[in-house]
Amino acid sequence: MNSKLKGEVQDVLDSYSSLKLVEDDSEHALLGSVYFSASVDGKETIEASYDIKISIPHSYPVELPKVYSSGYQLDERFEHTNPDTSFCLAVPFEERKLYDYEPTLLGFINNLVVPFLYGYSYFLKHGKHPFGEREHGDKGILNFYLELFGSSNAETLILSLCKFAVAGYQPHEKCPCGSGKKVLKCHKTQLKELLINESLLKADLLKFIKR
Amino acid sequence: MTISINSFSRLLVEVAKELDISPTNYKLAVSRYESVGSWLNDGDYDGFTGKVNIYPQGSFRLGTVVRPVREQIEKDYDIDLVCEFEEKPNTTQAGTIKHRVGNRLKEHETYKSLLDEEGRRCWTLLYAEKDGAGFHLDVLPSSGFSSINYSPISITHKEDEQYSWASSNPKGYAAWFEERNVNAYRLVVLEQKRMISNSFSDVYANVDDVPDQLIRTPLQRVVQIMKRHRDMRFNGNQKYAPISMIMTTLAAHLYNNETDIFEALTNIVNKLSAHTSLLENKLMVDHQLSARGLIKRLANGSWYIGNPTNPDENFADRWHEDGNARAKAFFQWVEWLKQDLLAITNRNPDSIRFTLEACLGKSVINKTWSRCIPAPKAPEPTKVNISRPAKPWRSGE
Repeated sequence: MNSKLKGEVQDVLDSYSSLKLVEDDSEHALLGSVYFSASVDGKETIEASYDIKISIPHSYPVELPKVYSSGYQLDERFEHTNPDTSFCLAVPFEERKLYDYEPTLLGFINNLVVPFLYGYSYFLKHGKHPFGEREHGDKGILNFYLELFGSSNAETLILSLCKFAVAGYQPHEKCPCGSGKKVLKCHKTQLKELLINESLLKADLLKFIKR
Repeated sequence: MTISINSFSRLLVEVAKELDISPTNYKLAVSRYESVGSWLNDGDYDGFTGKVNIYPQGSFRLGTVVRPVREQIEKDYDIDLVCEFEEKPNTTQAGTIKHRVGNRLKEHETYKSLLDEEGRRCWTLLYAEKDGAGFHLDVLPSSGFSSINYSPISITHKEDEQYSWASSNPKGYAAWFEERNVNAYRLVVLEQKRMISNSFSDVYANVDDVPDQLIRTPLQRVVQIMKRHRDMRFNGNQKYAPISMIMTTLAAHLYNNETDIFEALTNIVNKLSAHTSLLENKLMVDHQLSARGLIKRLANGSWYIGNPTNPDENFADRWHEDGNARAKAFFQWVEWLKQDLLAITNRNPDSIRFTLEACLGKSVINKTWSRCIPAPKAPEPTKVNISRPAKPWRSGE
């Protein structure tokens, strides 16, 4: 384990004293309970504790950790676990974007894992999702991009994004949202954000290009 | 989790305070023995016209008193009082002096009812107290002139109905101990008087009212802890258990004016332990310590621990008996001290508490533990403010 990762792990252990670092031959993982008290503007504060396992891939931080419930399964009605039972924290691009705000393991937990578990707790209590949810699979991914640009025209959006993904940021091209304005005067910020993680964007766009 | 040395020191001080006579009971004991003193002084004794002096001796005077204990049950305090007739010892029979005191006490209705059977050296008044912390007043008849240069006095000794004289110098010993203690005493006296006056304002309204005898240095605290540890580990009655005189003397010799009780205890116990090789007639590794001759092994195999005020008196005069039984018991006890009270790092609090209950007493540890040892922190939830929540999703249909 390199010293940067060691430091990140230590910061997590300092904040979440019930988590422990476990090392088996192939991977590092943080195991134990996250005990949090999470507050959200306009919503109730929830205090809860969940036993989880956070697997840290060798390629971290290029790939992000996967999070599993440990010793139990999330309620079936909640529906937001992946086929491999890991938590579906967000669509890939959104997950990366939230990670990049505070690119450490502790940031990963605070910005992705805890909000996810807050949402789960809230769902168990009220039967609905506090922050909304995305449709499963590619529909959910598409939905993320549409939402980002406030657009409902999927075809225009995908085609436009493909051009930007290949050619890079071009301020005078039309905005992907379909407003007809130059992107410079429209969704400049959102587009630039996407182009930072160009490879993730391309991977997503490939799903929507009809062969 | 382990206990910090700081917390452990605090615990030892609190335990020693708990074993000690409280300032309230101290005042009560003093007023009781002063009454006994004036009663004895007012008596008419055949052929005696001199003065009768009453003064405390032993642990009550040295400030190393500890509450006796037997089978985890706390008992009454023993307070030793010298009743000194100012006359030359040879002029009167030992038995006569002993009975002067006994008879005079029996003339008093209350004392008569409190009086225990005649002891070998003293008369004992058994005061029971409502709050359970009563005390025994041991009155030791003697003759001599201790007021002149701390001269030795003669005390009576009864064996097989025969009375004889023995020599003793309680004032001289107390003066020696005070000298060993005085630097540390000066450091703590003001602070402690202030604290006692604050906590016991009903008894001592002003700082200046607090008697010097209530001040305790780390040396005195260490002696108290060691005595209680001895009482517990030898269950109060074992024939070969180290005597208080020996542990007090050696501790006072070895004390280096440490300001922390754990530091003082560590130093004293380790230096005592350095003498263990004498059991096997081997030389001590620490030559400097060996040269001080605090515990000596003589050529004939016998032992010597001198009375600092009278080198002719050997506190260890019986250590060679029964195959060095007392010496062995002493070094066994030192080893126990190391294990029980010094080896606390790397041990978890539960294990330390268990040991302390066994070697210092359940009830004192129960009273003091939570005051000194911080409880393990209840886990607190980590606070997270969610400002950019993601929407949960699922890969695959």
